[in-house]
Order: sequence, then structure tokens, then C-alpha cells
Amino acid sequence: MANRTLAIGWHCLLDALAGTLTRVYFLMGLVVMLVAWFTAELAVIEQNAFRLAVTAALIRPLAVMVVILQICNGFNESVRAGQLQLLLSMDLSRSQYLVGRMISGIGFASCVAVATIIAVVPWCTWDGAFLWIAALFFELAVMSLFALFVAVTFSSLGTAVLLSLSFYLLCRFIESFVLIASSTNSGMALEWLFGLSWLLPNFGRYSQSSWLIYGDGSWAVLQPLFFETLMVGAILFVAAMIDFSRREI
Amino acid sequence: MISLRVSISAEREPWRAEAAALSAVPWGVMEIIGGGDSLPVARMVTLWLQSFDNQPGISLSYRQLDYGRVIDWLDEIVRLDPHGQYPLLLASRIYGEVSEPVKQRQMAEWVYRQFFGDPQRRWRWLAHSITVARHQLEDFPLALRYAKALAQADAGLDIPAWARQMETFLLDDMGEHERAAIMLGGLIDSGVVTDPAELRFLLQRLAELRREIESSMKLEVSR
Repeated sequence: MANRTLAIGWHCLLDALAGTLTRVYFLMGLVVMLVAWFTAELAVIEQNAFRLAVTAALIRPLAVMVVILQICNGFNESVRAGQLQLLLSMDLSRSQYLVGRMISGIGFASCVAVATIIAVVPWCTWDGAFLWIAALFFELAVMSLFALFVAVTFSSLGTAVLLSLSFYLLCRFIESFVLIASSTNSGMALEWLFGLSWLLPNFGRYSQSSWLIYGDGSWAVLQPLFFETLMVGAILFVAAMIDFSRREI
Repeated sequence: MISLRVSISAEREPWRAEAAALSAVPWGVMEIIGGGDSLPVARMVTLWLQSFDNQPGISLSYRQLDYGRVIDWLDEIVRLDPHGQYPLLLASRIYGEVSEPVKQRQMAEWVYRQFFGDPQRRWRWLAHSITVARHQLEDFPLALRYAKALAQADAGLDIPAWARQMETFLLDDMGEHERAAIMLGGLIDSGVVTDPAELRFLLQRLAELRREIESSMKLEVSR
């Protein structure tokens, strides 16, 4: 059973890595590095700080976008091409297939995170880079699971991608939204947002660029992020599992 | 249609390059844009502020800028990125170098205020402000106030001895040899200066100061 799940995960991962999106990510990563280099040239001092700040700010949403597109498109494509139906007609349960998909998604997220290190490590310490990349991986892992959940739930690729992006933006800006609501004293909205902030992972605390620039992060910072990722990931996976078992294919 | 388009365009007001004024700081907006990581926003705002003198078709002098607004922007940048040195560089070496004493004082004062927030990292900018106050503004009391802040900074901080000695040399320049000698003696006793060559130089300077004090006292007695 485990072998089949791993085989699906491995093949889906290979498929994702060989896809166009991986090449697009490398190309866009190169563009980000060029933009960062140009920005650093404008600075009189602290050029590396400028380079890292720009790289971190641009490459992070880019990585998220690539993971979302890959997961949603991969699942959608397997349904459209009949590959999923074929696999399920064999001696393979839906949960095995979904676990395989989850493994490939998290594997792809880790590959993207590891590849991103190239863009930052020449200008910062290894410790800072590892911390930042680890937090980026947690962020991408949550997003890959959310993308899998919406890809399973909605048959339309556009809806799945749009919902994933909205989820990402909400998680990234939830702290800001709560602060705005509390400063404007908007009663009902504040309570609603406050409740939401307890459920959603706060991506604003993940991958801080100061870890790269000033090296002020520590491994202790990663612990709560790891547990948050684990909890949110488990919830998302169970939700995807329930939806997948109900869905007519 | 083309002739109509040309005739409409001919009626149009000629384009003029107009300098835009520095806008007020949208407090809190930067944090929202940053989405939990406001450091990149702070860096981008820094570069925008630095290049504000270059606008389409026009190049402003730094002294044409509203320095009150510039200070607000610098405050916001420091708040978002407290470890960054760039706003202090802008204040002391760019906006503080204009040939308008009032604006130079504004910037020197801002650097002085910021120094207390992180003396370990910001002492060099205050040291520069001391030289501006001493040599460009020729305001000894102001330079002395700044130099005093440097000299009185926590002895455990990694501030070089030459920066701490600025107060002594300023007092010497002001002709206050006695106070300079006391300050120098205090500095030597504090143990901040550990380099033997530097210590030798300071002791030599202290001896010179004492000689100057004695000779001035003799001069007064003879009068």
C-alpha cells in the first residue's frame, strides 16, 4: 500500500519538476535577481541589504504562485486526461491516491524552497538562509495542501487558483486586517477577523527578510511555525480527503 | 480623423515639468503593504526618498525639499527597519550637507535624537554631525552637546576611543583647557582606551594641556 502511494507521489513529483512551471520559476527567479541587482546599484551603502530585501520580497510570492499553479493544474490535468479515473479503476483507494498527491505537492514545495536558496545565499549567512528557506518551505507546504484541497473540491482550474491566491493573501495580511479593524474600532468586522486569525496561519511571521539581512532569526522561531504548519496542514488534508471521497469522478 | 486628432492636440496646454512636493507620510500604510515583513517596504521607500530630487524633466536641489516631511519619512523608515543605517546616511551625508544652516541643523538634530535609539550602530553618524556642527555651522556649543552624548555613551559599547575623545578636543579648540584636561583624564581613567599607542598619545596630549594651563595661569599672575 505504502509502495503504491509513494510511487504515485514520486511520479507526480517528477511530472511537476519536468513541467514548464519549473522552468518559468527559474527564469523569473533570474529576473528577480537582476531587479535586485539593479536596486542594489542605486544604494550608496548596504547594497547586500537592498539586494536581499528585494529578492526576498519578490521571490516569495513568486514561489507561492508557482506551487499553487502546479498543484491545481496537475490535479486538474489528471482528471481531464482520465488518468485519475484509470488509476482509481485499479486496486488503489482514493485516500492512497490523495496521500500520493500530498507527498508530491510537499516534495515540489521543498524543491522550490531549496532552489530559492541560490538567489539569497551569496549575500547572506548560511544560518540566515537556512532559516528563511525553512520558513518558506512551511509556507509553501501549507499552500500546496490548500491548493490540493481546492483542486479536489472545485473542478474549475480558474476557481481553484483564484481561491488559493485569496487564501494566501488573507493569511499574509490577516495581522494587518486585524490591526486596521481594531484601530477603526469596527465591532462586528473585528470580531469576525479576530476569529479568522485564530484559524488561519499568519504568513506575515514566516520568512522574515531581516533573518537574511541582519541574521537576527533563531531556530526557536521556527518551532511555532512548524507546529502551525503541521496543524493547518492536517486540517487541510482531512478536508481534502473528505471532499475527495464525496466527489463524483 | 487624423486632422481632428492633430487639431485637438494643438489646442492642448504644452507639457511642463513641475516639481511635485514631498507627500505626507501615510502612517501605518507601509506595514499593511509589507504584510508582516515591512523591511523590504522600508528599503524601497528609502530609495524613493533618496531619488526624490530627480523628477520627470526636472532636477531639484535637496534644500528645496520640505525638511519637516523628510524627517517624517526618515522616522517612518527607522521605525520599519530599526537596524538599517541608510536613513542616517541620508540625514547626515546627503540632506545634512546642503548649504542652508537651518536645514543642516534639523538633520544634525535628527541624527542626535536617533543616536540614543541604538548608540552601538549609530555613533558614526553622530560623529559626522559633530564635524558638521564644528566646521560647517561653526556652532561649538552644539558640537559639544553632540560630542558629550558620544563621550557619555555606555562604556561597554563598541564605540572607538577617538569618537569618545571628540568632546575633549572640542573643549581644547574652544580654549577650555581645564575642562578638556579633566575630560581627558576621566577618559584615560575609565579604561575605555586600551591601545598602548593611543594611550601614550592621550597622556602626551594631557601633559600638553597641563602645560598650556600652567602657562596661561602664569600669564594671568604676571598681569
